[in-house]
Amino acid sequence: MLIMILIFLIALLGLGLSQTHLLSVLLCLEMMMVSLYLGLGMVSISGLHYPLMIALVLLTFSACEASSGLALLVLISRSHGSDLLKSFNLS
Amino acid sequence: MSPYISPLFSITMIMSVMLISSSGHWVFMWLGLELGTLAFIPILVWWHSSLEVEATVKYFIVQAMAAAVFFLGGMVSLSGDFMGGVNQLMGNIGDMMIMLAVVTKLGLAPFHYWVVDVVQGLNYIPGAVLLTWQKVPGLAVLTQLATCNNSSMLLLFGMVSALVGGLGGLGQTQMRKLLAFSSISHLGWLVVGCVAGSLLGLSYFTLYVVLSIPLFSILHMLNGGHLNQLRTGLMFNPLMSVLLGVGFLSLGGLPPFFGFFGKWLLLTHFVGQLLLGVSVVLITGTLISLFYYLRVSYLCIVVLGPQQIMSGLNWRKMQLSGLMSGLLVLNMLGLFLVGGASCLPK
Amino acid sequence: MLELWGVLSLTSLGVMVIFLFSKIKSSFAESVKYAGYMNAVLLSILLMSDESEMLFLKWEWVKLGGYSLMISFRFDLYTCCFFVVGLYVTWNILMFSFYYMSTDPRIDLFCKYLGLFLIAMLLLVSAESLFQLLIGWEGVGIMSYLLISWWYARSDANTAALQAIFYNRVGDIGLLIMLMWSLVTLGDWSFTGLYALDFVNTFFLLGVVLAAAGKSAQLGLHPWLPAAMEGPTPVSSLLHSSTMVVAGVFLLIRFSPIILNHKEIQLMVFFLGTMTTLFSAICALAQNDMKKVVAFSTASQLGLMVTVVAGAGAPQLAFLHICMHAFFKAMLFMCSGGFIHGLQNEQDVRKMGGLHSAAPITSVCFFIGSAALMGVPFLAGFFSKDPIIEIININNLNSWAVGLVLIATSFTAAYSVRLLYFSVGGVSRMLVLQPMNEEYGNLIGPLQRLAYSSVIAGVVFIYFLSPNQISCLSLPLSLKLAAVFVTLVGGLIAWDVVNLLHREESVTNIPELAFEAQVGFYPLIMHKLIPKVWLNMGEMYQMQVMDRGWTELALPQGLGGNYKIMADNVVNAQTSLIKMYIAVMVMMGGLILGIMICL
Repeated sequence: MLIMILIFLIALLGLGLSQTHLLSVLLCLEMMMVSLYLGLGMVSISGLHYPLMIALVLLTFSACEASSGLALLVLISRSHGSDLLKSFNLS
Repeated sequence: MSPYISPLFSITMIMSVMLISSSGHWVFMWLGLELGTLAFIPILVWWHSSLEVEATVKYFIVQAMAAAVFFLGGMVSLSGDFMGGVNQLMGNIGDMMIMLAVVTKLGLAPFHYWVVDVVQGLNYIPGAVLLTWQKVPGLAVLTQLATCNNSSMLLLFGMVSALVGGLGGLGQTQMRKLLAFSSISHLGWLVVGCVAGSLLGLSYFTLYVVLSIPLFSILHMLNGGHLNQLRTGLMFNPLMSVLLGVGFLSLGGLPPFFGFFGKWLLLTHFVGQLLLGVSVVLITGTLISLFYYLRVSYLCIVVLGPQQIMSGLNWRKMQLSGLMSGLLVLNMLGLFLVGGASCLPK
Repeated sequence: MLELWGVLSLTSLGVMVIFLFSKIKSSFAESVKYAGYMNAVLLSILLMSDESEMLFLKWEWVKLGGYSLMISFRFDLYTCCFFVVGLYVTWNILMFSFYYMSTDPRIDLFCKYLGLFLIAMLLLVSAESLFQLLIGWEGVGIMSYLLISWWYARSDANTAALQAIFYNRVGDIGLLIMLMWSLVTLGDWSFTGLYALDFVNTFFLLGVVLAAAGKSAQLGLHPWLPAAMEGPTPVSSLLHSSTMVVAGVFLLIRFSPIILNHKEIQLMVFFLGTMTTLFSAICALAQNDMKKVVAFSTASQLGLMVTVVAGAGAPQLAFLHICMHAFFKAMLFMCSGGFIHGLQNEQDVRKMGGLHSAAPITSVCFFIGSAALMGVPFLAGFFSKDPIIEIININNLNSWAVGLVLIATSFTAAYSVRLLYFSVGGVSRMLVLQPMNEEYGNLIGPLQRLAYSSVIAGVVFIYFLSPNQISCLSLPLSLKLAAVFVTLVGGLIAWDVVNLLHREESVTNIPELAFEAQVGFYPLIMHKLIPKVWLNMGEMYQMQVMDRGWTELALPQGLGGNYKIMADNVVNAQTSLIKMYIAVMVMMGGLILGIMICL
């Protein structure tokens, strides 16, 4: 359980501190989601009666999120020419 | 994008709010939040302009991150339930994580940075939806969380929001940024209202929506992002300029108007619950923010814009939609509402 | 019967109000005349019946919670007499203004203003409650402002009107004090309630004194009265005779039963009156403006009235003097108006002289008026002034004040004689070929009517009005003749002095007359010196030190600057780099969680 939290935090720090590309941000997000999935499994294993259906829902939604993130990646590389986060400063 | 698909997204957004407000469990709250965000993203990138896309990307990253933290918080408090001795602490940490996630999703003060950028990138109508309707899921969660033992943290966020919303707008000449900061300031009041009583928060939110939607729609009609363009656009519709000026004054909470009513309602309850320091900070923030509201109203009502000789004032071509006349009547009725509300039993 | 006539009197006044809006300008004057007749009948009925009888007419006006505000009129001897005198004098003044203002394009409006002025005064006099008195009081004030600034293009007229309104406002504070006090203590504003009180606060009476002093231009609040000469002559005539200035005295008369129970206030009013009468008489001695002399004589007479209300405890005598004074003072002003009009708006007495041949009728009237003012035996003024001085002579309040009154009386004679000498008598010093003409019906008619009244009114009034209230005095011969004697002495001295001084080499600047000519230096000190000191102080402390100094430094510069720095920080955080945002958010969240875990 703690390992799962650690993985999540590493992903979160990666999201916050060191990235240049939008793709890596999406990867970090995906990593957070997967760690959550993992954690959910751990919680279920450790004996709490929890419907495992939720894990499936989480997986579905993370997939949705990832797909919209990729769609946005395509959009932004078409409009900005790259996926560098530093170039997202038009406003 | 095909226009026929937009009802799908709208209905999904509405359904997400229903899901949240009818659920008692954090998983379904999370579900609702995710649904709302995912359904809103296609609406944000409707016109595919680069500004929009950029704003949407920022919005997406922040929301996805917050959703993940939300889920983590839920899981932490869940695991605290069966870990025995330290479960109190774990539960608290989980609750706090959930709260921070929701606060990030709403854009309260220390986590407010994305709001301004996103609103600046969007058109007025998606911006209005972002600043009004998209707040509902977060607020629905927050009203259920506000009764927890970490409500003092929410009060702190509320106060900081009111101050930041006031200070941030001081130097702004971009209308959308101004509205974003104004929304942050109002959100501060709103959150403190939620802590003081969920009905108060709800009524203040209703008031904010009622006041700001017509303003956004007028600005959308004028289609000016900068204060200068605003004045030029208003040259051809004097009634609209008056409406806009009065509406902004009302949003600032100046006494004869409707916006004052909400602030007065909240303040009486704050003082009744002895939240005196909080009230002082909130009022200070609002006072600072009144400066930029006044500046916009001054521009709308007092100043005469650049004018060509041949262009007359189009007084005859005024279009008074039901929305705008409703806004005007509502604003003017503010003091009556105060009088009526003061008759109610406390 | 009495009620019937009271209602008829009010009806006649109502008809007068209706005619105020009529297009035909003389119809209003006629309605004033007939209202005067009607009220004369009412007065005679009141006199024939028991004289202590009065009539109250009351209607409910507004009901405020438990308290109902009444419209109530009080018809006693004072009210009825004043109605007759006021209507009669105003009728004559209206006729006179048809002559005097005939070239004015707004003469209709002028007559309406005069009418409103009169109506406000009648309302004041007939009021039974303090509230109604306030309405009349403020009406008189505002109409005086409008009338004094009638020639609004002249800055002098505007200044004078502003003076009038400012000084009256000071007096109004007194009236407001009265209203507040009586509402708080009594819960009512009616006079009957106030009379019934066995103890009245000093504060209330100070309010009465302040109000009366403001309206009647007593010493300290007097400068507006001579300044009000800037208005047209009919206005001065009405203002100084039967409206406005006597309102203050009338207030004192109304409250005399209360004042006379309070020794300190009585003494205070007494001193105020004597000082005013002496000061104004002194100031009148050296004035060269014809209307100003007459104006100062009004102030002096007002002082005498105030003196006799308090000092001698004889409000009836004061009221008698009000009535007599109304006749001859209105006439004096009309005469000077006639002279001024005839001499092409020349007001300086040094440029008149010998008018007795140019305008004989006006001159005769002027002489009669001056004689009545001096108190020449068996003219109108004598019958009020002589008893006043006798009654002051026998009172035991203060012999010093009595001396002052006697000196003032002799000065009255002195300035009247001087004025007569300069204008009517002597040699002509005016420009040649003056188109002096007094053959106007609207000039001669009112003058004659008022001259007759100035001669006979004294006898009539003293005969009819309450002979048993004015105690028949038995005095030693010296005191009995004191008034006449000092008048004679004053007149003779003035005649002599004027003869002496009226030479070319001596009419230059006489430093000994500076006090009189500068009106006691009062306007210089009060209107120039003190405001200048205050202005300098305000400029120094408020503006330089505070407004442009510390306040500026602390608030716009200091606080505003701080806000600017803070706003800069908030806005600079908006780098629009999503990386920064997320980093800050993550760190902030970590910080909050860390603090929470540590706690």
